[in-house]
Amino acid sequence: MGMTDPRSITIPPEAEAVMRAHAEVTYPNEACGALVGTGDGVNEPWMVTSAEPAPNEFDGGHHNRYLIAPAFQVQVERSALAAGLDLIGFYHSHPEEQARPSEYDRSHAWAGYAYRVYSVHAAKVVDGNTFTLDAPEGTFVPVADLPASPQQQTES
Amino acid sequence: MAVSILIPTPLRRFAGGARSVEVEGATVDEALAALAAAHPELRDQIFEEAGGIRPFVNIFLGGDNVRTLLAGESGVPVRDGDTITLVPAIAGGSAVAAPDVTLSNEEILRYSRHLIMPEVTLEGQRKLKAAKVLCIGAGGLGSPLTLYLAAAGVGTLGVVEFDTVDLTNIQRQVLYSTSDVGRPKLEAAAERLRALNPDIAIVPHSLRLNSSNVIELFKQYDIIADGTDNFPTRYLVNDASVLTGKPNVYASIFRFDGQVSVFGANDGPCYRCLFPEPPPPGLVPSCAEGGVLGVLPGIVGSLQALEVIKLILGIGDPLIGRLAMFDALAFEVREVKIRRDPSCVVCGTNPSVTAPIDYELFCGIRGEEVELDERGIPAVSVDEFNRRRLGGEAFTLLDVREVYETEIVQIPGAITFPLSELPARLHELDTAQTYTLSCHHGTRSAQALQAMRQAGFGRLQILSGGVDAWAARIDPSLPRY
Repeated sequence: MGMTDPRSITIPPEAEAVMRAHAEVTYPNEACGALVGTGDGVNEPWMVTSAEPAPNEFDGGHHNRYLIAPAFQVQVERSALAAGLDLIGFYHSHPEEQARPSEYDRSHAWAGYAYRVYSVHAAKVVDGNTFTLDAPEGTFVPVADLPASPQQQTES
Repeated sequence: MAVSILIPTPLRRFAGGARSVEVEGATVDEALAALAAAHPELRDQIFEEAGGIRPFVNIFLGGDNVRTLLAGESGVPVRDGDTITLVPAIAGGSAVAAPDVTLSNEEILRYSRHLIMPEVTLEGQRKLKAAKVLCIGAGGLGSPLTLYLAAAGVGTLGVVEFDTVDLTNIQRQVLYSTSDVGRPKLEAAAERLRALNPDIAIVPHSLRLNSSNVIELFKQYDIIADGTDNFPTRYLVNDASVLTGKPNVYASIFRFDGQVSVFGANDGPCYRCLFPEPPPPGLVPSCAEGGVLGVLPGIVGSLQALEVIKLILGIGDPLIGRLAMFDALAFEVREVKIRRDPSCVVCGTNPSVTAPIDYELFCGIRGEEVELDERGIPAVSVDEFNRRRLGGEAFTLLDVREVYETEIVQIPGAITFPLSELPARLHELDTAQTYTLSCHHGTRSAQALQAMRQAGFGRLQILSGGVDAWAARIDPSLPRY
């Protein structure tokens, strides 16, 4: 196996299912939450261990905006650190929009986090992609989704 | 005091990759100053030049957000072993996914009064430019509607119209000049709109909207704006909007009154939820018959343009599930709530209209082919029906009596379709097909006709006098009851 692109992310099926279900039940509003795991997307690929759904604290219409309460982040970050993990990024859904970051997402993003975006049409997730902010350019770049297969497969 | 400061992932590269930094200080301010001194690169990420904490960064001491308490007179004291957490604000949202369009410097200047509003901004203007809006009709409502949408920078503006400019139009249809009288409206409108905004695409559709062209046309647009003045087109536009999933920004005017609403958007109701069937033909006069104050479509069409723009930008509260009614003489705007009707034949849970129907028939406009009885119901006499039957004309005769009645006597070829079972069995029938309805004397067949009409059936007539008239006049050998 060759070198894995550090700008990649592996999401286990359980975490993916949590995010998709959250995006679908929250439709037509936006769902949001945090990604816990390891890696930084620069030196080491991101490995998600769990997705943590957050309440949408945006003071206004939730169909196209989300805001995660800082207290929620602190809580997730501390329990992640206690388990030897990190808060590595966030996810949110775009009801009736594409699974790519909006200009609003871009202007509020931080380089160093993985941002996963889901497109939800008629209460069904139809697409999901991960992006990260390229610091010097200030633009979003795609993060490769790697299949969550076991690291070591035993030959029988 | 020794405190630890937790560094979030995005800021670690400014702190040599550290997850946590130990510093000394008596207050949070002092601890942060010590952190900035130890990691100068981090200073710019946390502090503004003037010294305050940057926007979009929160500071937690334990479980409390102390951001607003910092830089106070006494500071926020810390205890030995406390943990301070830097928390980047996380927000976002689809709110206008950035479309793949850019604005030229000239466009930026043109739209500068939009761009400086935080509710619009460059992002919103790009969304406007990426939007495709189809305006049905370029008359009284269509004039301000298309003018304002073009001026606002809606990138693709389709216009459906087939009429020519008449001198009686000029009193309210401000798209046109007196010199345009006699020209095709579409030609004059496109010229005027292109002169107003050369940066957008004006797409003229010189056609009469009908059941066979509406779906393909609507699919090419994001939003439909209905400015028509007749019921067949209004129902056609409504049904096609629902069927293609496009919001329908609706407006209508009459004399001194106007209505505006947004149908078929975000699970909201459609026009049929409000008006399941059209008024009888002739009851509501057109502008040509009833007159209209020239400025009224100017106001109402502008409100329609406003709702279109709000939908595109995703701002404010669109008129979804609300019908706004403007009374120009009293200067009153009233609002009624409209609920989505689960039994709506188009947008309900079990719709019977799954393709456009014949709307002229549905609205009773094409009366010449159908005789009306004294109740105003399309009807055929038993003599005429029998004559056509013997002449080999195909027909589908639905006998809406109960089964125990049809066992007594039935017209040859009739299909038993009891009125009591009708609502549950409508799906067995084809809305585009012609049906003749029959019962004992003609009362239940009229009820069945009304029910089927509401369900979207257009070609219906009853057999006058029912099976009793048939037995009396056509086949006296049959029993009467």
